[in-house]
Amino acid sequence: MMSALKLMPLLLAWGGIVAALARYFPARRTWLLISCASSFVGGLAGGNLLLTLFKGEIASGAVKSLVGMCFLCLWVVALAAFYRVTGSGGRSIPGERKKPYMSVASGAASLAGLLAGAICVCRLAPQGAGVPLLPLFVLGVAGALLAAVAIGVERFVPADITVTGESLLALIVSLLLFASSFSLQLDLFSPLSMKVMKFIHDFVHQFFESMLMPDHLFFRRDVWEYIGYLFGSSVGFWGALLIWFAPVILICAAIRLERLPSVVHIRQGAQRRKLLAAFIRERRCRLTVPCFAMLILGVAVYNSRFPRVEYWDPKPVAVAMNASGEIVIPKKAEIDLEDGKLHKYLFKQGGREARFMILSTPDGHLTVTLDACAICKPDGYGQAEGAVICYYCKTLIPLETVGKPGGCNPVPVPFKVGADRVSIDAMTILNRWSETVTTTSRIKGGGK
Amino acid sequence: MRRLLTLPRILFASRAVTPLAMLFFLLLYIGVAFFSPEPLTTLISFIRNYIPLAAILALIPVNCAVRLAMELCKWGKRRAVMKGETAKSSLEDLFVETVRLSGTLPLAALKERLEGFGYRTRLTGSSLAAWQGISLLPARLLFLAATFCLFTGILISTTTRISQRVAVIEGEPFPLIPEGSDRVERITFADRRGFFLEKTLSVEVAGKDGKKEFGIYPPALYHGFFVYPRYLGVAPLIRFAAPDLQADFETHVILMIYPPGKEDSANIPNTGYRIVFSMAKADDGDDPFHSGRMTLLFRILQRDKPVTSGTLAMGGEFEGDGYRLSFPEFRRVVATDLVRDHGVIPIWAGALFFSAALLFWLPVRLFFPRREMLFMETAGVVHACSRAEGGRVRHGGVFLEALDFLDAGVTVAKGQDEPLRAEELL
Repeated sequence: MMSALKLMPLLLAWGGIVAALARYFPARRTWLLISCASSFVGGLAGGNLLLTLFKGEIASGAVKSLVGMCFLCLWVVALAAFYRVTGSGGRSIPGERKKPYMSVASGAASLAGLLAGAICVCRLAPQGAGVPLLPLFVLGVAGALLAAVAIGVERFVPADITVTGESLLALIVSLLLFASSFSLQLDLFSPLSMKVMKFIHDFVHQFFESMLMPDHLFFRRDVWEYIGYLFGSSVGFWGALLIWFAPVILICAAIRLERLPSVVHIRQGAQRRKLLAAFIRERRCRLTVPCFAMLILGVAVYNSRFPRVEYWDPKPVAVAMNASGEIVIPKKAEIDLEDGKLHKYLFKQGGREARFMILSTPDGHLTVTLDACAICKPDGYGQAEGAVICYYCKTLIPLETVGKPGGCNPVPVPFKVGADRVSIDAMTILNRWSETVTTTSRIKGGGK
Repeated sequence: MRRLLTLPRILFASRAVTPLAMLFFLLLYIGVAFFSPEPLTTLISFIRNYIPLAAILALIPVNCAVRLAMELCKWGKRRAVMKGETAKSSLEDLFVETVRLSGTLPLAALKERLEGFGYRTRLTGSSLAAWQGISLLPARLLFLAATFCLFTGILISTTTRISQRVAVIEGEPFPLIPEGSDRVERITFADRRGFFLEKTLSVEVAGKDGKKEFGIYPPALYHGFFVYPRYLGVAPLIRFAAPDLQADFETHVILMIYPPGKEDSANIPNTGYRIVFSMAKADDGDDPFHSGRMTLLFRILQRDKPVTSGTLAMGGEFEGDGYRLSFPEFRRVVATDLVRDHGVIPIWAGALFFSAALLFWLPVRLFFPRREMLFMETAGVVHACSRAEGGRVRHGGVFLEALDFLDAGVTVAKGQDEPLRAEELL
């Protein structure tokens, strides 16, 4: 029941994709239905095979990359549309639209179906294991039935709402991104924000270096604070929003900026006005689908920012060091260190403090790491769905890689494992924490 | 020959070249970002090391230069036609809308009518030109020139930049020519609130050519290298003794520990000792680098285990737990990049051109956009052409009215003496 509820928005998104395809390719609905249903089932099977053969991270990474590539394609198409319209002399003729080929229809339906199916199966199996056959079969049947219903319902959508090639792609990609946003492993917006933040940081740094501009040491504090905004997480968020919505906005702009048809050859004013009014009305109707796609993308951003996932984030337990300068934590006491959950500790000594965590990875190894990474502000980590998440930049770190250094992974700390205890050198952890926090606090908003 | 020239023409002159090249680098960046933690620097090193990538980047300035020439040429041809000369290329290429009408032109009446709409006119033989506003061509040319300069600068900078980090130390020869006679006489650092900067740094170098002074910005040129000061530090003479060491250790070390709080460390070779230093903030609020009254905080580590720590003023001595540490003297240091980069000036020129283009484009596009019409009679056929860089609806209305006027004849045009308002025509 819970699984069905979890999949409901994804299946609705799939229905929307089929309806949009049916509107764009109205000629052979049966053929479209077969393509859609079979590709959706294929996507389920393929996704499940990936999940069974490989670890969850690899399978979801592959699906996420494919969705990312679709988003990239949307960017290219949107830029081309905008470029075409803003070109000198570019003028459209109403009613002059290329008829879509059946092969294109099948191709689009197959790709969308495969991806939608794969996203659904990844959502159904968040722990990264394969899904049993029965739920998979039920999901396949539901997807096929939904495709049939969507094709039927599409007939009742007002005929004025037309779909162009660009807006069809915009709607399909936005629905796929919407479906992905329900799963932390498939979500694209958070990693995009992080990459944007990194790019802006690198770009500003490179610009300063290339243009031989002085470092913050010499800058006025107020001026540097303005520059510091560029390194903050909010810039990553707003930049990602821009990249996220820009293709759809470009498609809307391309439709809106489409030049009015030439009427210089018509000498009757009434006829001219009629022609232009018809064109303007039709152009307005064509904006409906990309505007809807924009709304869907907005919901996907909301899902990404406020995921319906409860992170396991225990309150740090205060610990002290013994006479030999070690922090000793028993493996099994009130807290079971090997239960697969994240356990946080706080060590304070002479005005200095360090926050660290102990976690048993899926392969059964204990790891001790700081509750901070080497590049973000030390906002700490939470645990969810086979990964820990950096609260600052929302990067997911698979549990398998916790304990390894680099990137946004929590900074590992040397420790000794005994038969019944874990011991950590107190000075080492204090120094490691100080070094990390000093580095990441040097730039306002973190080091990214 | 014409066919042979087609490919280079498409390659260099097409409007699509610059966006496509940019798209290519965007995709490359995204690809690199998957595999490298430092995608931007990796991409720059790719361009530096692989000639085909540099060639693709070079397409952008070449395309801009060719387009600049083409657009200037097109503007020249249109201007000639507007002056009444015979068109040297197709009117369709020069204007956005063209229409052919049969009959003869009542030019004088049309001229009067267009002037009524606020157009300036020129009647030359069988041709009537009407225009309003200022052309955006200068903004477009500035934009293309800016893009040319920017990408030329990026290309030059990426492929030929040479940079070396040196320590400029008071009393030592200037590192660019160590064997030369140029010596760093003094390094001064002071507060001076400017538009962007609040500090000034002056590195005074004396040599056989006289005295030179290098500041922060703009960077000075020295033997073809930009002198680019990065960070500040001190070079104290350290004397160190430990209970387990046979002899005292004495050496000059360079510590990049400015501003106060920043840490740097010095290794004592072959002993396992490392001393971590940072600069203490002055109690009186003075800048220690500026005043020269510096106090250093230190931690002595033996194989990464802290053994002792303390505070020591320059010129003072610390003694405790069997350890002795003193700084008998110190010199100021500026970590400086010596950069040979011929791309910096074109990039700044590009930024200047972009600003100028924007400053010209915005008011002209908003308030005085160029609108042109041309009516030309040749061999019994009237060519009516129009283009507008802004205010298209109003201009289109006037153009249609003019066409209706020609079609209906002067005397019965809409049955009115006063010209119609343009908005009424659509």
